[in-house]
Formats: sequence, structure tokens, C-alpha cells
Amino acid sequence: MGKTSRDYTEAVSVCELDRTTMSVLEIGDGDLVSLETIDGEVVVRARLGRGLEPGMGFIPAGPYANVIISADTWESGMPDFKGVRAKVFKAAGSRVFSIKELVAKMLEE
Amino acid sequence: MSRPQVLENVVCPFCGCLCDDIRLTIEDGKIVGNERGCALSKAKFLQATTDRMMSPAILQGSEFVEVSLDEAVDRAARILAEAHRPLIYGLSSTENDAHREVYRLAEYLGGVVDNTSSVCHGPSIIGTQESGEPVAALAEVRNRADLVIYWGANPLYAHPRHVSRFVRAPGVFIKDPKSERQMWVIDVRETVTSRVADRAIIIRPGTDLEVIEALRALVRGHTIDVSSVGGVSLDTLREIADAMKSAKYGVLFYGLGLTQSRGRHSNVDAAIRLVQDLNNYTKWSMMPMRGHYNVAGANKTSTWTTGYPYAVDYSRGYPRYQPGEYTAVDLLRRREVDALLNVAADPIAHFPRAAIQGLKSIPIINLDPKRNLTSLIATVNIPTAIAGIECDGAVARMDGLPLYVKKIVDPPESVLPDREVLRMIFDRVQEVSRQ
Repeated sequence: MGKTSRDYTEAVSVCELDRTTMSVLEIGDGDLVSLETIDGEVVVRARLGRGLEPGMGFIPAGPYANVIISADTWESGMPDFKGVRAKVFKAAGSRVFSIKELVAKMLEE
Repeated sequence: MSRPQVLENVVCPFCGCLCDDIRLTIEDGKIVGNERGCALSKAKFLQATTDRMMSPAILQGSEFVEVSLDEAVDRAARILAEAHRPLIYGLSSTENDAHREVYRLAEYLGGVVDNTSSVCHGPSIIGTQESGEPVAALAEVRNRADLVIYWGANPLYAHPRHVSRFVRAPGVFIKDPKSERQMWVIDVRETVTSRVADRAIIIRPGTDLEVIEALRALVRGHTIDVSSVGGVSLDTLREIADAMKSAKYGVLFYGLGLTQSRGRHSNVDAAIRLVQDLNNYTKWSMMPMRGHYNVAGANKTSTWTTGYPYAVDYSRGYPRYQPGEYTAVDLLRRREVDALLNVAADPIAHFPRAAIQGLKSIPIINLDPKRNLTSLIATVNIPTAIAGIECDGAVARMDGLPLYVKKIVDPPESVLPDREVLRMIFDRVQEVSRQ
């Protein structure tokens, strides 16, 4: 499973959410969601996460998460890969960009 | 057809565990069997030939044109020789001799050299520089530890045999690991590891520092005037502190949950001081769960050669060190570098968007065995041999143990190890600079 494979894309273009958040926002397992932070916006698939506290989301490390995190490292070298505040919206009718599209979009903006 | 050959005790070059008990079966120059390896190890060995970059290539317009190795090396050398502030980045998935060539090149070019620890356990190193390194050998953990805590780490996912080889395995003084050794997990969410642990403690995200400092206070016998810290009741924290003090030999393994969350190196610094406090009562050690198989080696070779573990700038002709200044994400975010030589890493897959944008208008030279996201936009792609499978070398395990990785099979035709390609680039850079 290489970085350019469909398996990789499917593994990293998801956001695990807790059951409460998903039911309140009427999001089903596998539905498209849009994640917005002060640094960007990305569409991924929602997955029901086991044992997540309400209000917490988990995205695997990868290019989809990197779209919405800051590159400010607070003079440490390390960006904020964890603990980022984000808003979650249902994104029916939208689509998940392929990795190539995502990289091209990141570079052009 | 030749008879299958079986190789025993092969070192797996995937994660920082460097499992050294793998049994490989080789048939007709191909690896066809991997016994004892985890799923990651099986994929690494058995799929070594898939998804490879097969030929050096140069980006012309929007198309890659296959070229000879000499042409690719010449183009790479010209890019580096013309750059005012080149960055050399990566190193964690290649062996120590390749690192040596990188430092030589960085010094000659007056460039910056950083390894992937700046986005994984860099903060652990800063914490260690503040407070010391109470590290143990993994064999010592297996032989002696009666309490093992994983903090902000999910080894069953990222280091699949860490638990079975060192924690749930019997050792010299721990005959029955299930009854004589406790395995606890502290994390912000339930994980596959927390589900198999003897005890799982869930804390609120971003409160690691507070929880560690509360434990320090309790270990030292102070009273705390709150009912809970980080979502954990004071009674539970008191129980944890007492269990830590009464363990015969405790080990704290910690992952990116400490280094990538709020607090970063302060979290690690506090954890080291907690372990120091505990050593007033009993024996405790701690160890970062290093990810890539030779990222610990990259820190070591960088320290031997430049004096510093990562984020090293040679622009004044001598090495200077400053995380936050000479770390790759910061350099790219500030648009400070004008060329990137990427060796055995994938910054396009792992850097935040604003850092990736720093790559859009600079030439990228990419050395890697496989196609990755950086190879999609690199100016020059040069395929290299997979260290530990197609070439030998020395690497360092997460506890610092140096191990020799073997050459198992031949690399694809005309594909050379990283160290040889880097040597060719260095020689060509010298020639181009003299012109």
C-alpha cells in the first residue's frame, strides 16, 4: 500500500467522531463532512469512533489533516498536530478530493 | 528454479522496535515469506518491489522525463550549487552511512540539515536537553519492569510487536508477565492498546502537563486543593502516584501524545522530572516510542557529526542549532530556503499546508525507493535501494541500541543505495562549484 494508492487515500481521508456529535449533526457513518479551522477547510468521510469523548474528532496523520492545521510551531519546530479546534459540518453533495487534487490545491493557494 | 533460502534473525527496517528475529524466505531473488514479522513488517519485506520509482526522472513542464542517473545527479548538483540556502531534510528511513554523506554535503553547501524528528520526537530531545535522559534498554524492560505505562502512545497500531516482545513477554525476573507486570495506558481517547491494557486512564486533551505536574506533587507528598486534574479525579491520581512509587521497576514509554500536543517539550521535561522524583523512592526509566526505524540513528549521527541532534544550520560555515529557526517546517513557512534535498522522507504528506506552500516555487530533489507524495512534485526524482533489504547499514533502535541491517536481495537494476547517490551528488557539486 503506497502513498499514491487508493488504500492510503481511504485510510487518511476520514474523521472519527463520537456517537453524540454524529447524532446531533445527523451524520451517518461514511457520510461526507466538512472540517473548518482558522487555517483551512477540508472534506473527508465521517467514521464512528469508539471511545471518543463528545466533541472530539480524530483524523489520521496525512495530507487531509495537514490542510487544516497551522504551520506555526511556537518556536519549537513542531506544528500543532493535536488539539486543534475545528467546526464540523455535514457536507452532502460535496466530494473528497483525490490526493493529487489535494496536493495541487495546497500548492496553488 | 533455485531452492528457497531461509534467513534467520533478520532485522526489520520499519519501526523503532527494529525486531531482530524475523525469518525470511527468499526464492529466485525475491522475498516470498516473512515469519514472526507484524503486518507492517510483512508489507515492508513482501511488497518491497511494488510501487517503486524505477528510473531517475526530471520534471519538464508538467511531465516527468526519464533520464540517466548521471543526468539526474548533474541536475541535482547544479540545483544545490546554485542555491543560497538549501535545506536537506529526512534521513529517518535510511542508514547511518547515508547520513554521513548528507552532513558532508550540508557543510560544503553552507545549507541547513534537519531530520524528521523535528515533527515527531524533536520536543523529546529539547526536554532531554533541559532535564536529562533516564533511558533504559528494551531488554531491561522485559527482564525487570513490573509497571509499564504508555503515555500518549498507541503501540498496537504503530509498533505492533512492542507489547508482545517487551511487555507481555517473560523476562529474567518477571516469569509471568500477565500477573507480575502491569501495563497501563494514559491517553486522551480509547485506543486498541488501551483496550488490552490492565488499566486505561483517559485525560482531557491538552492537559498532559497539568496531570504530570499533579502526579509530581502527589509523589512528593504534597496536597492538592482540587477535586480533579485533566478530567481525572484526585483519588485516581493518588492511586496512580502510589502505584508508581511502590513499583519495583517502572518504565514510562511516551509517544506523540506528549510531543505534538499543547506543552510539547514542557510535557516531556515534566515527565522526565516525574521520573527523577520517582527515583527517590524506586527505580524508574522512560523512553520515547521512536517511529521510523532509524530516526533515533539520525539524531545520533547528527549529534556525532555536527554536535546537534537536528535543526542544524551551516550557513556561517560552522554548525548552529535552533529548533523553531532551522527546523524544516519553520524554514518553509518563512519561505527561507531556495532548494530542498529530501532523503528518505515525505514532507508533502506530513507538513502543514503553509509549509508545503513554501515548496511550490523551489526546486526539490527527492531520493527515495518508492513513489510518495513528494515524488509527485519533485524537480528531480532519484530512486534508491531500500536499506535493510537491498543494501546494508547501521541503524539505531528506539533505546539507542545500534544494529546492523543486512542486504537481503539485490536492488532493481542500476538502483544504488542512498549513500552512493549522495556521494555522486557531492562529487558533482564540487565539480560544478569549481567551474
